[in-house]
Amino acid sequence: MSSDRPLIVQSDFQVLLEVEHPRFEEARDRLLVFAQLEKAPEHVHTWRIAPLTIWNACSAGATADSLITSLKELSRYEVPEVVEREMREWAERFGRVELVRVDGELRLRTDTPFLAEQLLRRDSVARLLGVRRSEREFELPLAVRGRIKQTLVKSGFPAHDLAGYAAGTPLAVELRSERFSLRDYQAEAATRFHSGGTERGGSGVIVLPCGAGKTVVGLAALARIGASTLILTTSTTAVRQWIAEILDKTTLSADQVGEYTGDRKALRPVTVTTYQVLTWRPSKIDAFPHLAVFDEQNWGLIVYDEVHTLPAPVFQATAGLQARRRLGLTATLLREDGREDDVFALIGPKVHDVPWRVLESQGWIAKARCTEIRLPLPIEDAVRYDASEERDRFRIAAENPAKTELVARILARHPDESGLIIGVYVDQMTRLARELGIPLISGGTAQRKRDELYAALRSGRLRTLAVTKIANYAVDLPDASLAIQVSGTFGSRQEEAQRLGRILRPKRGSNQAHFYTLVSKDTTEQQFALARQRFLCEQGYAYRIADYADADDAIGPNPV
Amino acid sequence: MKLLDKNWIDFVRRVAHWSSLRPRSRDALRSMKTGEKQTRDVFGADFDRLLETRFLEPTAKGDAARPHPEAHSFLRALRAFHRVPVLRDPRDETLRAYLGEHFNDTQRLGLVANKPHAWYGADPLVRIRITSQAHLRGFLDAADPQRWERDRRVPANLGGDEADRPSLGSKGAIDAARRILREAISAGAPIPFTELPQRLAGVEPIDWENGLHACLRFCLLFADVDADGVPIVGIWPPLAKRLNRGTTLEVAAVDARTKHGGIVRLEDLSALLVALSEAPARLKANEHEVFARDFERLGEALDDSVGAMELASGIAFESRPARVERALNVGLARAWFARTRDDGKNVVSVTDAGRRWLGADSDERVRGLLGPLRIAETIDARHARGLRANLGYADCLHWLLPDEFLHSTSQDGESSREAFLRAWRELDRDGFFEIGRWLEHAAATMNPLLHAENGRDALEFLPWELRHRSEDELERTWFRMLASAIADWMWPFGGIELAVGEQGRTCMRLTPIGRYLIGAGERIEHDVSPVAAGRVIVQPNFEVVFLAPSSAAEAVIARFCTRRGRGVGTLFEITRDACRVASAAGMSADQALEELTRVSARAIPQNVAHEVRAWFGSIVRVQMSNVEIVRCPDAATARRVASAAGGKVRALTDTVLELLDGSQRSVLDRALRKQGIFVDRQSADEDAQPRRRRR
Repeated sequence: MSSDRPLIVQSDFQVLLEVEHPRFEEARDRLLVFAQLEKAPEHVHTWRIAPLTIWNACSAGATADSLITSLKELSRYEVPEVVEREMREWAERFGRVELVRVDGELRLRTDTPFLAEQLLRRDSVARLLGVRRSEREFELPLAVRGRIKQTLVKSGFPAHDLAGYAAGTPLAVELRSERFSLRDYQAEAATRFHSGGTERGGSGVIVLPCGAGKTVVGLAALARIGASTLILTTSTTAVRQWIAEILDKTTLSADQVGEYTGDRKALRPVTVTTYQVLTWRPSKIDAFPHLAVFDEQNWGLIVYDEVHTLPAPVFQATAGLQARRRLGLTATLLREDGREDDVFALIGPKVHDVPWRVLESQGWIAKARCTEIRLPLPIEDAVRYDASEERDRFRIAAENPAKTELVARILARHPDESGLIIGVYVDQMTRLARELGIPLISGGTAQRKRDELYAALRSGRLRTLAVTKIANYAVDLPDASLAIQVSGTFGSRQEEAQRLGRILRPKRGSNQAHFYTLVSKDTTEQQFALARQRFLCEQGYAYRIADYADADDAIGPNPV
Repeated sequence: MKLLDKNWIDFVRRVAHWSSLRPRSRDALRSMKTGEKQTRDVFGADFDRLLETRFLEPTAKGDAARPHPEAHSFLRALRAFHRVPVLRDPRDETLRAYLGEHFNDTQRLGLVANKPHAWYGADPLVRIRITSQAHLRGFLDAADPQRWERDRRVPANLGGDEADRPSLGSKGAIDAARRILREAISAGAPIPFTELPQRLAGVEPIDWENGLHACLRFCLLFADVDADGVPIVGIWPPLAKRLNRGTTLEVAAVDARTKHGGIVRLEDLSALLVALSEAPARLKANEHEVFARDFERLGEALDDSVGAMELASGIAFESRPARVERALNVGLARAWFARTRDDGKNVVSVTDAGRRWLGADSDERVRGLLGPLRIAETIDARHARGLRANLGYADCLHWLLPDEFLHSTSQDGESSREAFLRAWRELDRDGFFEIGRWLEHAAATMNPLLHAENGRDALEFLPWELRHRSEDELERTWFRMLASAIADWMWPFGGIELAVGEQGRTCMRLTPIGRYLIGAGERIEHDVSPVAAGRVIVQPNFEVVFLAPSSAAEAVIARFCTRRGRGVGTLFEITRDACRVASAAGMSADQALEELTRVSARAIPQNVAHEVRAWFGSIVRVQMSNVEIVRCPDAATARRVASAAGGKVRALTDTVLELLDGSQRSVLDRALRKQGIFVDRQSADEDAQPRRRRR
């Protein structure tokens, strides 16, 4: 045992990293290359090594030896043989198949004739291949470039795509350096993505925590590539935020930027749209009419915001767009549907990843304090709860009317902070907003009204806003520092991360954000809250639980 | 008789010619029967030489040849050697065939007793005897070799073979026989016959001829052919291996990795106590066997990461049902469980002593479990009482070691116990030792079955069933006993730590618990403080991470956490279910948090402490009992009944009363009858829901 080393490598491919260890930062930076951070609680972080993480590393130029050496140098105990063997095997598989362009034709090339034979024996691969040009080389129809990459990843032989990109329609665009400057990590992310314009860059995913400025990285990539760009994001609100950011931070004018949403359908050199619009269709048997937007213009870059939420039809469309540069932006590579391999194959490998702790320590994102307050159900609701079917209980607990009074108390304790009250049930939120006298944004709120309310909150004219789950994603509220979650979608971790992300923009002063979760005690809501609690703890946030009787202590002193 | 009628000088001379033949010629010649003819073509260039050396004689026409009469004996012996590969494949079966091939009954059975009345069932003993070190040493060290020979030869008047000539009549023959034997021992492998004259240079041919005859006649040496068909002679190969191994097999410390420790049995018992606290296990009627469903439930409560430890260490542990069985037996023996009646059914449930043990601190729990298992303590106690120490009935080993061990010690318990402990004390040094190497070493050099006290022949003093085993088997027996002690005793009770050494070999080292168990140390040192036992961290996401191994801390935490792994890494998760079960078993939240605080190198996160308290506090106990109720047709009757019963009933509703004291039922009956109120009794069965008919 060498206690001067901070890692413990487990034979289940998990790697534990001791946070207080003097070599923590060195180990973290080296792990970032070839492992995925799974959990980052206070003392010991858990990373995972998997084929995709190794292939991500290999695509960035790492070798099996360098990765294993890194692991051995940092591991306190001997690295399990199975881990070393599998890492080597995974790493050696990367790059054995390459997609290249020869005389304008797309070709698939293997490193050995034997591998070519092996691929031919796999139906899923063989049916995509064209004429065999040599022992190691096949012609490949342009249209299957994405599908073959998907298939090869699933077969365990990820293709190294060196076939290059279409340039796209040129677009003169620069960042407005007089208004803002890129942070170091943003500039580095854009540089790595661009890779000097070579075919070694131009597609990939950038992982940055919520509030770290992923949009700006997207703009930097746009500026470097200088070509017409399609941006896909999660909601109309997010579309407008993107447009506002583009107009504010680049030299593009309003007539060069189009909104392609349910309200407006303007195709411009830079077009921003939503996944919902793209995947809309009149009925289940119809085609997706708006997916044609991918082919409407000669896009030089496609930006996928919140890439971990990419819906299946967009994956399919993306498979046919492999000649375009593709940038994925996300706070986490983990997908609830487990399609990380499709992200790897179709969007690209991870090209940059900055841990949130680094950004927090540098003040680029706010410190968050998470507090869960458990309050009892009023007696009549408790009786109703006990008499209800299991499926109804969660809602009864979530809509606990006693939460309104507690929300008011919390708001009173944070008089100078603007924030959101978040829930999932429109009835509950409507009632709560009415009783507290605050505006509500729900699915039924007109977009114009939404924009007004968000703008009011941003400008400080409005202090508090109640929102339903429509505000989970990509709503930029720079000054919001308080979130009170009164109900959630069962134990959804993704929702928890997104909600917290709304208040993580750096703040003036103490740079402190508060995230409250109100839970009915001894109910199924408390059980689901446990999953959320664990998730936040695993993200590294300090988490405190208080019972209703101790709520005042947990909220803080009354300023009055 | 193919072996004992030989002129060995002629045999060796013929072997020299034989060895120079082509393999094809040898095969052809060996397979020829007396009088059978073969043409020149069969032997090719060897034909003339075979005629010349009188292996063959020509037929009248001269175009073919048949075996020469002088070579008949040689060829017969070769065919027998070829049939019975006693040196090439040294097993009991081949040895039996060899003896049957070359010896008649009196010659063979005389090897154990020269009196025919003692021959009943002696065949296995012959084989054991002639393959033992004692047999070889007996001849080499015999003060009167001629008597040694006489003792193994049945006299003619008792049925002995008159043609069976004595061989050790002269000193020259005796010395030659001993010299041949020593040559064979030092060679370590069979010697070709052709090498004998060279190895016995200076010895008169007649002496070495007689000496060789004696060695073969009394099975000190065995004859065979090698892979090329050349005759060889040697001592019993396993015996040669043992003799050449010497008596000082070194067991050296080795580098080891991937260590595994822990007190599996302690955890099993804790898990069963916790599971049985939650709900007792039902026993079958009139039996002590737990019902299958409950047995399965108990099995599921056991930690399943033992499997991973098995894979990593290469040592097979008991199956899950066996672990349940073993833990139940231990718990019952310690009165931590008891067979009781619950609701009219036989059950196994946790006793107060069991709950106390579960809630005790780590050191107390370990001592409570291990104390009675300690070898030294039990034996010393018996010595103190002036009784003969007898491992066979010592508490600690009675149910731990295999039956063979107990049987083996019934006659010679002292030496068995000493050998057992001595073998373990060999490991009382720093570092890890290869288990296989240690077992071989102990089985060969500290084997009480082979080395009985007072220098007497161990075979004579062994219990009957062991007396019928060869030295090889006795070595294997002791080897297995020690291996069982590892798997059943030392490992599950935390006496050793396992690791993987060079080339994946499994290694072990004694822990302080191991030293305690063998009486080599008094301190258990099952210290759970983070400084001594390693670094343990309780994380806000409820995971418990071990940055260094600590079996003691593992044993503490396992009581109220769900296990995820072993050794180092994320080993536990604090879960609601585990806390609730621990709570039902009598642990309190304060105890659990105190234990966590004691082992954790960092403060327990606030959310974890809060949840642990909430989970422990969420246990509510309710009481269920049978009551007798009186249903009245109307409120007025109910009032009359209440009045007649005095304070012995309580009104549940206007018309339903609860009889508080069942023993007053008949008194109440009489009182009510006087008032004209008659009681219709309804049995419990009628009261209950109609049952489904059983198929």
